[in-house]
Amino acid sequence: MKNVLGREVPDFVPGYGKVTPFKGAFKNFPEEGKRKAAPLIKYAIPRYGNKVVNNLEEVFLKIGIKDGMTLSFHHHFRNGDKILTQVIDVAAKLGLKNLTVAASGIMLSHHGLVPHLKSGVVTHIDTNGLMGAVAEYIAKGKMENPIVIRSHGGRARAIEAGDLHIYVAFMGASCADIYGNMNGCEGNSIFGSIGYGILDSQYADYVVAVTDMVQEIPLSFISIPQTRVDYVVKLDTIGDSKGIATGTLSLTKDPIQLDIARNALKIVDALGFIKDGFSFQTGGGGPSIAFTKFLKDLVKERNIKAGFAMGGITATIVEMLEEGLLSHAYDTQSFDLYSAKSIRKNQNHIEVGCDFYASPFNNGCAVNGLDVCLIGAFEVDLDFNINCLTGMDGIARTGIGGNPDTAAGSKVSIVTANLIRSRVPTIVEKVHTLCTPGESVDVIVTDRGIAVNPLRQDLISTLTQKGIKLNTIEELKEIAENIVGVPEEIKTTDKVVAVIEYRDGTILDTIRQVKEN
Amino acid sequence: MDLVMRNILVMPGNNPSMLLKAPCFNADGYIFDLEDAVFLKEKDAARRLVVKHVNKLGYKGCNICVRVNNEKGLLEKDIEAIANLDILAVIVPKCENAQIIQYVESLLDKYTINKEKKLKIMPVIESGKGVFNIQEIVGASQNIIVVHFGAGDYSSSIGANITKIGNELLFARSMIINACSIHNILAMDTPCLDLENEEVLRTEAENSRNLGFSGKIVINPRQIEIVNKVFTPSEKEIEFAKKIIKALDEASSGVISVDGKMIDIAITKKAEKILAIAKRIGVL
Repeated sequence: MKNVLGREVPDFVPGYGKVTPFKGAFKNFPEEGKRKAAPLIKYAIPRYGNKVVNNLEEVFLKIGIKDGMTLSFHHHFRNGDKILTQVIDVAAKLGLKNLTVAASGIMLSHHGLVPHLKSGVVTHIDTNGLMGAVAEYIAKGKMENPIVIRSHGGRARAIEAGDLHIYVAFMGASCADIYGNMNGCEGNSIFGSIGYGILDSQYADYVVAVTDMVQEIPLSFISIPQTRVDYVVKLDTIGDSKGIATGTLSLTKDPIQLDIARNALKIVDALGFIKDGFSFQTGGGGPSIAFTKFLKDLVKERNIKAGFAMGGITATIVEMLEEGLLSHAYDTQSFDLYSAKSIRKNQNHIEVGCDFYASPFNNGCAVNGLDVCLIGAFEVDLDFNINCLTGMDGIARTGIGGNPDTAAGSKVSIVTANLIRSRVPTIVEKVHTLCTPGESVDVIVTDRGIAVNPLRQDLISTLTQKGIKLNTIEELKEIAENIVGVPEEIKTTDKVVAVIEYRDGTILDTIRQVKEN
Repeated sequence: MDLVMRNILVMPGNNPSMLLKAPCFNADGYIFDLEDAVFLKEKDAARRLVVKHVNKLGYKGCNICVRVNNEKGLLEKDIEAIANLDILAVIVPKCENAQIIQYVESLLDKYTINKEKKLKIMPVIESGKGVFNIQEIVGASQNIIVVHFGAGDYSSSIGANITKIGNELLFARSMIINACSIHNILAMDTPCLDLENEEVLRTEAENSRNLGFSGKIVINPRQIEIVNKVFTPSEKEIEFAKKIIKALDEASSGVISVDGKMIDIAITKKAEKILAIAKRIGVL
């Protein structure tokens, strides 16, 4: 069957279940009277507070982890994460099979998962995104079951709704106490916010703090509290803090990306957003970092104070907080060590979970209060649909992050992208993988022109009046194709290797197995 | 003179991905270089690449210039290849006398099909001899629109060391600016080679502007923003220039003063020039 975006989606996906096709950004609602999933009620005897166990194997045995269970992980160490593979190595050693890995991200450092996919230790993956060896393995159709890809808000919704039931949440922490309290901003391996793990810890049957630093005195700064934690395990190594900033965060020197950032800021300014109380999410890509830097300069120059920033928090946003240019920052993920350290010492730098951040099924998540968000894209099609997941070879290169969440919630969503990526046009007839529906994507700023979604005639009118030159998206496509031509279509088989779930639980698209040459 | 050239970006003619990006850098002009940036064995390939890129992409409004090789054999081939491209000018490096300009003119005449679209000429002065003969060089053709100064080869030719202060280059710079001003053509200063220190670039650009250069050659797109800022008339300059023109329009006698300053013909001309530049680059 086809969903409203014209994407072919199956009625039923093995390992996932019945498919509800995407109907529109705000067209699918929670079942009337349905209650949230609830975690197990626990009981603890006074004076038996010490939850420290000797090793991961002991954790498996004490909890009684069995075949087919779901184990969850956050990816705050990004490419420095060493927890996920260590845990699954233990599962393999204990002879477990058919496990589901529910990780907020599968990173380059998780290549050690591949042998466990081959051997059947792990047979399901539920994640926000993936890259590297695992992504390649899956794209080539080597897993029997399709993986599930959800946005940050969608993952939170799925956990709260019980669609994603976590049996054990292995929560990496740079510091924990013997009672189970933990955080990511003290110790030797700090990563800042544990935003992606907060919901996991609230809804999992069992929660394990995995750390390289355990202290006897209770922590004063607590991200996940002891009331939800069953065991604490200390490992020699949990992750490399330097991996947090891998490939994302230094201010680009590329004049084209700087120009894209300047033009994006010009759009935001022309739309009248740069004023006291202004709220934004910018993310961690090249133009985004530059945008935030230019925004900071502008806010300073105009002697105003922004309201809140959210999402991935960077050093520039923290500097805005410190210099009184921003009221507060909601942090689901600290993008660099500077922001990771700030969360502990700045009360206006607030750690939040993904339900607060972006879940559509509650009384109002924070993305709904955004004025502007900057989002990235590998491809944008003529209907403004975004592919922010798969590269030109059809293989996942990153996560979909909060792309569909912020696009849906913010007043204006702006895609920043080079019109041509390594000689491949960014604007295409139809995106290969549909991650964010075009109805919530408003503007695309490229190095060779700016286009506004025709659904937003209000923006077109304002920007034109302000003298900003606009192109149609068809014109941008033509400019790109005149230079580099039309790329060959990615050849796929019929096998579904991944389903892309929208934040409301409906299916936006599927990813098919890429044909190998 | 209609042309505004606060910067001109040098791009190697043998680098297709750089040539592809040219329109995105928002430079006032581009030099597709067939000379120093290209090894001898790649000269023919670079020549073809530049021609194909220009023909395919057009680069409308980009002020593309091609720096040819000033060597017997290569010069003729380069000019034959580019003479009919839809570009602004041919850049002639190592100009030392009027004869080379006249020779380039003759090659352009020979190879240009549509004489109305004959390319302009931009000589590069980069030797003691070139500086000495600057008057005859700029007077050798009506087609010269911009003169470039190349400090590296110049300092080497006179046995000077390049210093931060730049005293060793002052004579050459002044000679070039002086000659260009007589012929009402633009002068572009030598590029800043320090790609890391923005302050060095800013200071160099400010010195260039103060000396009378209309712009500065840039060798990295990152240098464009700073150079543009320096060579773009400031709001204060524009406002003052506007006041002068307004006062002139309203004046009943030949002598006027603005903000307590006597305004003479030279200041008036400078004001007109500032407003013309501001208008052409869209800040007026």
